[in-house]
Amino acid sequence: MSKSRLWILGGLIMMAIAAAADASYLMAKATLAQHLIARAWDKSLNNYGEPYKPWPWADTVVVARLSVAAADLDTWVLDGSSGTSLAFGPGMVSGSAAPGETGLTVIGAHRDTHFNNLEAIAVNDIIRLQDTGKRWHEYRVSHIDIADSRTDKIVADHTESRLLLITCYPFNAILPDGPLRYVVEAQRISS
Amino acid sequence: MKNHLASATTLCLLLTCLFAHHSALAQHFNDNEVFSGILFFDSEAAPLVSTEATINVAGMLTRTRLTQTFENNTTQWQEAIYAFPLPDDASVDLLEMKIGDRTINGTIKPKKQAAQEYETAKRQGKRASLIKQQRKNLFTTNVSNIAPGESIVITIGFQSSVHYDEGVFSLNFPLTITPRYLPGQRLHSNAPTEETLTTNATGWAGMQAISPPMTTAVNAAQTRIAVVINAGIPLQTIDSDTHSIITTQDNNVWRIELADTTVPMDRDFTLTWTPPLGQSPHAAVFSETRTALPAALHNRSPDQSGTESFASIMLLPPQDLFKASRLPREVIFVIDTSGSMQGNSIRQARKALSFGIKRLSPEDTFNVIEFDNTANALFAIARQATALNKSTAFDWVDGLYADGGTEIAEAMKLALKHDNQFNTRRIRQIVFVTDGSVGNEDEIFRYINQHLGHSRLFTVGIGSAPNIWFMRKAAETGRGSYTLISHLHDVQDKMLQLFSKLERPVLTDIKISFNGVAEPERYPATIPDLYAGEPVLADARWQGAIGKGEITISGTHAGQAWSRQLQLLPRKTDQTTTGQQLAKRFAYRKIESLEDSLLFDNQPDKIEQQITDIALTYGIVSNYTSLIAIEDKISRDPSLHGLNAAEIPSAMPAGNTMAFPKGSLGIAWRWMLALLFSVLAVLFGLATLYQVRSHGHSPDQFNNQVYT
Repeated sequence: MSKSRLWILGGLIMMAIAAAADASYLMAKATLAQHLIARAWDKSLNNYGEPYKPWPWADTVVVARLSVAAADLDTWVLDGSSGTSLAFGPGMVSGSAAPGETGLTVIGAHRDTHFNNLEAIAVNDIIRLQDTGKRWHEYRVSHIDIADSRTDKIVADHTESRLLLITCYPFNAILPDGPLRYVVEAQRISS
Repeated sequence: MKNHLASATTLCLLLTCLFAHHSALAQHFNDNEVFSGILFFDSEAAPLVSTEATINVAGMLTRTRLTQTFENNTTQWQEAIYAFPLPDDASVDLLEMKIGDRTINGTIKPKKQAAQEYETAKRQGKRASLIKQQRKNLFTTNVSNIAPGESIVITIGFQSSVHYDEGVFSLNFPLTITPRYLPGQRLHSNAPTEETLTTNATGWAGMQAISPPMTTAVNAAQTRIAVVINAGIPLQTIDSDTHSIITTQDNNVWRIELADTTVPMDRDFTLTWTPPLGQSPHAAVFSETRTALPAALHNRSPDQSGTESFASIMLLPPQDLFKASRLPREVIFVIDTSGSMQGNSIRQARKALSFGIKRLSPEDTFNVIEFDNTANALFAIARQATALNKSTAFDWVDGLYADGGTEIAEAMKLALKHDNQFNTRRIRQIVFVTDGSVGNEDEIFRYINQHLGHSRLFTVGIGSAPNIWFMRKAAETGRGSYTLISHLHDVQDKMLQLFSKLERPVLTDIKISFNGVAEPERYPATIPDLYAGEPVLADARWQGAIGKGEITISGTHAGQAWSRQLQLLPRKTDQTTTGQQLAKRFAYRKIESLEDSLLFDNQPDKIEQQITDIALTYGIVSNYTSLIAIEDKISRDPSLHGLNAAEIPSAMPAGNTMAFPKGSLGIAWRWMLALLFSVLAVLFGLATLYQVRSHGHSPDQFNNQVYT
C-alpha cells in the first residue's frame, strides 16, 4: 500500500478515535461529576443549606435534588444553565424560583446525558424536588409540550408554584443545538 | 473512488433525512397540542397598530390624546381587537374614528347597548369602533371592517391626575400589560367573542378579555410620546427613569419628547419634575361651575337649571411639619397563622414581621399578636422596643407555624384593646399581616369602625392570591393603607416603603369644613392621615352655582390642633371637554367610591344603575358604559367578503422572560462522526484491497505503476 493511502487510512482511523474519545469523555464527565455533586449536596444538607461547590474550581453550586421515579431519574441540580454547568448536571435557569417557592422553576439538562429519559415521563407523574433545607416538594406533571426556542418564550411571571423540565428535542436527533425543546410542566402539590 | 464517495454521501443524506423527519414530526406535534400558559406564539397575520400619545399637564391634572393607527396590510377585511393599559385613574371621555379625511365622533352608551350596536354594525359591514373598560387600568379598542390596505385612526381622549409626593411631581404612562395567567391554558390566539367574555361576581370581564396575545418581536409594538407641562413657573428638573428624553422650554411651557422617535412598548413611561426649592405648592383650590350638556340632561339633571359646581382641593402641610422628629409610636403587629397561610405565605409573613420589629426604636413600644382559631399576644401589654424584647419577639415569630381557622375578629379585638393610660400624643399603628381569607368581612369592618379610636390599621396582604378587597377596605375603614406582597423577594422593599412612611406621620384626624357655602358631596368621605410629603386631596360637588366661601382643613399634629383656611372662588368655565376637568374628576372619584361599595352592598343592581347614570351624565367610560362610533356608510358587502377577527399582540414586558436552556451536548453527533470515519476508513481499506486484487498486483507494485 502506498504511503499516501496509509496516511489517509490512518487519518480516518484517528478521526474516528478522536470523535469516539470526545464522546466518551463527555459521557464520563457527566457521569463521574455526579458523584462529586452528590457529595457536595450531602455537605450542604448537613450544614443548614450552606451551598457547596462540587469541586474547588467549579463555578457553580448544587441547589436541589431532583427525583422522578417514572423516568428512573435521581440527580442533582446545579445553579445556572450555562454550558459549563450543564456538562456536569441539570442546571436551574437563572431567574427561577427556589424549589417550593411561588413562581416558576426551570431546570434544563442535555437530552443525551441527564435528561435522556425525560420522554418516559407522562402527565400526572410525580416529580420530587428537594431544597437545601432538606424539604421535599412534590410536583404533578400537568402538560408535556414541544416548544420552539426561536419563537416561544418562557414567561417568568407566575403567581403559583410551577416546575419546567426542559431538554432538546427530538431525543435521538444526531445534530446538536436544534431549535426544538421538550418541555415537561408540573404544578406543585405539596411539600 | 467514486463508489466510496457515493456511499459516504448516501450515509450523510440518510442522517440528514433522519433528523429532518424528526423535525417534521415535532412540528406536527407542535401544531396539534394544546399549549400551556407558559409558551406563546406570534399570532397570525393581524393589522398593525402604531400608537402616539400627547400628554398635556396643567396643575394636578393631565389630558392625554392617544392615537392608535390600525393598518390592515393583509388581503382580508379585518376586525382588530386591541387591549391596552391606561393610568389607574384614567377617565376616558373621547373617541374619534378617522378614515381618510372623515372623522366620526364617538358617543357614550350603556355597555350592553354599545356592544349590541357595535355587533350589528360589524355584521352589516359598517366601520365601527368601540372602547371598553376591562379593568380599572385596562381597556380594549375594537375596530371593525378595516378594508385590505386601509388604515383607520382611532383617537382616545382621557383625563388622569399627576402624582405628588415629597416635592416631586410624577406621571406614569403604562405601555404594556404584564401577562396574566390562567394555569393550564394557552394564551389564546383566537379572537374573543362576546360569548367568551364571561364576567365575574364584581362585574369585571373574565381572564380572556385581559389576556391579549404577547409578542417579543422588537418592531411589533412601537409608540411615540410627547408631553407638554404648563407649569407657569420655572422647573428645576425634568427626568425620566425609563426613557431618554429631550426637553425644550418656551415661556415656562415645557415640551418633552423621546430621544428615539419611536420606542418599543415593553416598559411603562414615567416622567418626574420638581419645582424650584421653596416654590412647591402649599395649597390650591380649583373650582368650576358647569351647566349640564343638553345631551346629558335627559339622563338625570343635576338640579332644575342643570347647574353644578365643583371644587378640587389640594393642601400640602408646610415643610416644617415634616421636619418634626420621629414621634414615638406604639406598633401592634398581627400575624395570621391560619391554615391558608401554610407554606410560602407564612414564610413571607414571618420575614415581613421580623423586618418591622427590627426597625423599631427603643422609645417605641410594640406587641405581636398571632391568630388562628384563637388570638394570642406575645406580651400582656405592649413593651418598649429594647434589644432584649425585640430578640424575644424574633424567637417567638420564628416559631410560628400555620394551621387552624381564621378568626380575624378575635385578633382585631385584641389589637384594638388598649389601656386608658395610652398617651394620645403617641401614634398607635396596627400592622396586620394576613391573606385575608375571611367570610365575615362586614362584621369586621363594623368592629373596626366602632373601636378604632386613636389606632390606625395597615394591612399587609401576603401570598399569591390575597383577598385584596378585604385588605383595602379594612385599611380604609381603619384610616390606614394597604400593602401587597406577592413574592418573597419583594418583602424587604415593600415593608421598607411602608415603615418609612409609618415613622413619619404628619397630620391625623383630618377634617374639612366649609363656611359660606353649603356642605358639598365630597370624596373621599373620610380623609386618610397624612404622612411625610403627601398632600391632602379632596373633590367636592354642589348643586347649583356657588358664591365665595372658605374652606377649613384641620387636623392633629403631634397631639396639637392644626388648621388652615383656604379661599373658594367660583369660576365659570366653558363647556368644552377640557373645560370640565373638575366635573370629570369628581365623577371618577364618585364612581370609584361606588365601586368600592359594590363589594359590600347587597344591592349591586342599584349601584350599577348609579354608576351607569354618573358615567353617562359626565360622558366617561366605566365598567358599565362604553364609547362607540359607527359610520353610516356600509363599506363591506357581507355577502361577498368575510371578516377576520384578529387580536393585536402586546409587547412582552422587558425582563419578564427566561431563556431556554441548551438541551444537548452532541454526544450522539460525536459517536456518529466516529462511526462515519470508521465506515470511511473501512470502505477506503476495502476499496484499496479490491483494486489491488483486480489488478493482480501487490499494492506496492500498483503504486510503482502509478508513479513510474
